Amino acid sequence: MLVNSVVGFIGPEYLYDGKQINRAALEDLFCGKLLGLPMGLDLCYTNHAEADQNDMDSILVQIAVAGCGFVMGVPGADDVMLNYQSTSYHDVQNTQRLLGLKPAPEFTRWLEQQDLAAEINRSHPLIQYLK
Amino acid sequence: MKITNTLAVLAHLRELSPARIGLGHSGSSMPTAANLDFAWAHAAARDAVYTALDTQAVAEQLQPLFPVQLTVQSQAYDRETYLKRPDLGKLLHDESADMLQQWKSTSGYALTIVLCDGLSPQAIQQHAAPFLEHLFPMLQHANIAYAPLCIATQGRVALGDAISEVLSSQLVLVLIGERPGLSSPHSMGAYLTYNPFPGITDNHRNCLSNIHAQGLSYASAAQSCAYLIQEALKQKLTGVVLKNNSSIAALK
Repeated sequence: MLVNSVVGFIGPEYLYDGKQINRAALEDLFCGKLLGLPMGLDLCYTNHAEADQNDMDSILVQIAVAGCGFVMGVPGADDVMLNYQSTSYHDVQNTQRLLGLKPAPEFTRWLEQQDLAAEINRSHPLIQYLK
Repeated sequence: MKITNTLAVLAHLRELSPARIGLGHSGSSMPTAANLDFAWAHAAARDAVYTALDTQAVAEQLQPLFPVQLTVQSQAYDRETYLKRPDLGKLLHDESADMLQQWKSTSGYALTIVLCDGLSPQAIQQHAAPFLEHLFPMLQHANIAYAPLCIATQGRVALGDAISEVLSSQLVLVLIGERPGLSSPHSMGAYLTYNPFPGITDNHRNCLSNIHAQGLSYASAAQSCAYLIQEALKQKLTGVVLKNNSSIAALK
C-alpha cells in the first residue's frame, strides 16, 4: 500500500502561494508519518497560483529530508493531461544525488536494464566540491 | 539499450505527444534549452491568467450573430480577489443584476449564452466566436429562442446561474476560459445547466472541455453542444443523467 497526497493541485482557491503549498506538504507528510503510513507526495502547483518551479525545488529538498516515501516523476515536470506542474525524473534523481538517497532496489534494476543508472551512484557535484 | 538510442526512440514519441519527453540531461538536471522552454511556457500560462478579457473586441466579433449583447460583472472586483474568493466570482454585481432586470423575459427564454473570462480570458477571445459560428446555425435550425448574449468578467461557471435566474431562462450555456496548462494556455470549456438557480450543484451540469486548436475542434464541440441543448430542452434536465450521444444520433 502507498498513500499519496496531491498537494497544491487545486490552486489559490485552496493554497494561494508557494509558502502555503510548502506548509501543506510538510503537514500532510507529518500526519502520514504520525499514522505510520508509507506516505509520499505529488508536489505540484497550478498556473493561477503564486508559485513556480523554484518553490518545487526547495519543497522537494525539505520533504526528502523529512523522509517522504516517494514523489512523482512527470516528463519535464509538465503534467500535460492535468494542466499543472509537478516534479520531474530529473528532480527525483537530483534530489537523490544531493542527499545520498537511492531508488528502490527493483527500480534500480530496471534503470540498469535501460542503461539509465549511470548517475545513481555518483554524488552531486555540489557534495563533491564541499568534501 | 544505450542512452543515445533511448533518446532517439523518445524523440519519435515527442511527435505524438505534447509531453516533455526525452529532454536529455546535464548531470542529473535539465539541459539549459529545456529549462528555458519551460520557463517561457510558464510565463505564457501566467499571462493567460492575468490578461483581461477585451469585451469590446469579443462583442464586435459576435455582432453579426448577436445584435443585442449585455456586459456584466461578478462581485470579484479585481483579478487577485477573483483568485482568492471563488464565492464572489459566482455572484452577480448589483448594477449588473439591475441592468439584466430590464431584459427579463415574461414568457422566458429557452437558452441564455454567457461568455465568461474564467482563468484564461484569451481562450474566450480566440475560441468563443468561431465556436458560436458553428453552433449558431444548429440552434436556428432547431428554432431555439435565446436571450441576449451576456459577456461576463471575473466570472466562474456558476455566475451563469445567477444571470439566468434574473433573465428567466430554461437553460444556460457558459463558455469559459479553462485553467491554463503549459501546453494548452488558451483552452475553452462549455457548461450546460437546465433550470439553473444560484446554489445548484455541479452534478446538474454537462461539460465539454478542452476546446482549442490542438484539442476538441469547433465543429465537434458545436455538434455535441447542439445535441445536448436539444436533449436538455426535450428531457427537461442536464447533468450526470444526460449523456452525450451526439455521435450515435449523427449515425441515425
